[in-house]
Amino acid sequence: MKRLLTLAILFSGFVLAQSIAEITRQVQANLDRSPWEATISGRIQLPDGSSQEAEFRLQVIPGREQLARVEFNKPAALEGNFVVISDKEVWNYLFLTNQVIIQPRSRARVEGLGFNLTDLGDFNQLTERVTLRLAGEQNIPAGAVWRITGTPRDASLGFASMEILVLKSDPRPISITLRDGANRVVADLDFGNFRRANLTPQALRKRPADAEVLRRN
Amino acid sequence: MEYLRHRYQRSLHLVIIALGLQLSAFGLGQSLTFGLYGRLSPEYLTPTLEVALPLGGFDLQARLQRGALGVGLGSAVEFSALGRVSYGVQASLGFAGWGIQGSASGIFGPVAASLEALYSNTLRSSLWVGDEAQGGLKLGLGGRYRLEARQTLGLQLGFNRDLLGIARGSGELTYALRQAQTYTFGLGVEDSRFYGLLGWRGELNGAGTLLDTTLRAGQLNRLEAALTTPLDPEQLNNLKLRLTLAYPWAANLGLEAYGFRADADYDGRFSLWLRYTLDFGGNE
Repeated sequence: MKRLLTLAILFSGFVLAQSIAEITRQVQANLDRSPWEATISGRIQLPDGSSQEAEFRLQVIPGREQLARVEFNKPAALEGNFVVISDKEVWNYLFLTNQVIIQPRSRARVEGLGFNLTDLGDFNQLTERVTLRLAGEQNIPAGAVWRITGTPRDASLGFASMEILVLKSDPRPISITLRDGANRVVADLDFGNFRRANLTPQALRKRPADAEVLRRN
Repeated sequence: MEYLRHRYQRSLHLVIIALGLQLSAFGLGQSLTFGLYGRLSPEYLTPTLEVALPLGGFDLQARLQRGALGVGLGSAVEFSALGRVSYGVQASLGFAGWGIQGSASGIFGPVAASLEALYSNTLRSSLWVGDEAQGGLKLGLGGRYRLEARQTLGLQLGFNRDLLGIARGSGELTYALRQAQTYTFGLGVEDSRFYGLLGWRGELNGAGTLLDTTLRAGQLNRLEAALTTPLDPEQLNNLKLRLTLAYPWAANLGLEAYGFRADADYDGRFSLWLRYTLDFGGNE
């Protein structure tokens, strides 16, 4: 009986492990289908410990030459700033000084906010950086969701655990919560206004023509 | 003799190391700018050369003209969309004299600040044609603060003590309101001359053509206008036109496109500076 129970637990663990790989595959396939945009909003904890309302617009062109743009709407101090991430480069635009700083992706600090937001648009990359586990299913007003928890493989990511809700009917993340080692919420973000959009690389790379371009190596 | 040979070998060794560094840095954002500068009354003609080279975590800059050489070293710490801190030092040496310069600037969230200090024992334009015709000590302090998403306060303070020991101060306070276009209002004083400031910046069409104008009027009068228009959809190349008009009469006209740059200047005498930049690291 005990052996049977052990086998059952092992088997259910195997099924769950299979499921998370399958969910990850479905999410990636869904997000890779066509360009899309979404608004990420919620609260984030700043380096000084205070908590602030945050709202970003995320635009992604999937494919071989993936391109993502994160535009800041809130907090007000960052409004107008944006980050463009391609395979090779990261562009940081700072509104206050009207500068674009271009760095090779391998050397750029994208995790300035404690977490690389574009990982949400690239689930494969997220699974490389975070060990994910299916924690269950639940129903929320948006519909039935998978509840996925994760722990970072790399301690420098700025959080100790994460929880993502993935919509079952249209496999994509709809919320993410990050916690630190003391189980305090570092970021609590919703993934709203998701829509397929006709995005072009030119539109994602758009910047003020008179911005000072600084290339860093 | 042995000593001289040793020194020669050592110099050669250093040159080879420097060349090696240059070659290893090839393709990492370095640039070469060739130029020709000419001025009337008194007549002066010089070629100019500017070199930018990444060196580890630093950017090395060197500039050369007839009778003067300048070397600078700068670096920055990046905080992605949150901000950055940059700093640099520069030294110039020429037949006319020498000069040093240090600067630092930082932006973090809603605050930006910059600080610069320069000293030269000759006119800085004698050490580099692009610099102002002033010598002595110059201190500058600038700050910008975002009151909220669309309102920014700016403050600029300056102090000069020229080669004759005469001290001058300047200050400018601005308020910028960003709607579809940005409107700037301000007040300033420069060398005991008071003025008001009005600015307008905005896109002229859907193609990204941008006009930035600032008028200072009062006891000091200066109009600055800059027009930038993208030459390709990727915005890899821009056409930039700059015009500055001042009274008492002075004017500057600048044109920039595809690495080519021309600056014509009049401040009691005419000058023309033509430059061409070769980028090896895909710089824009």
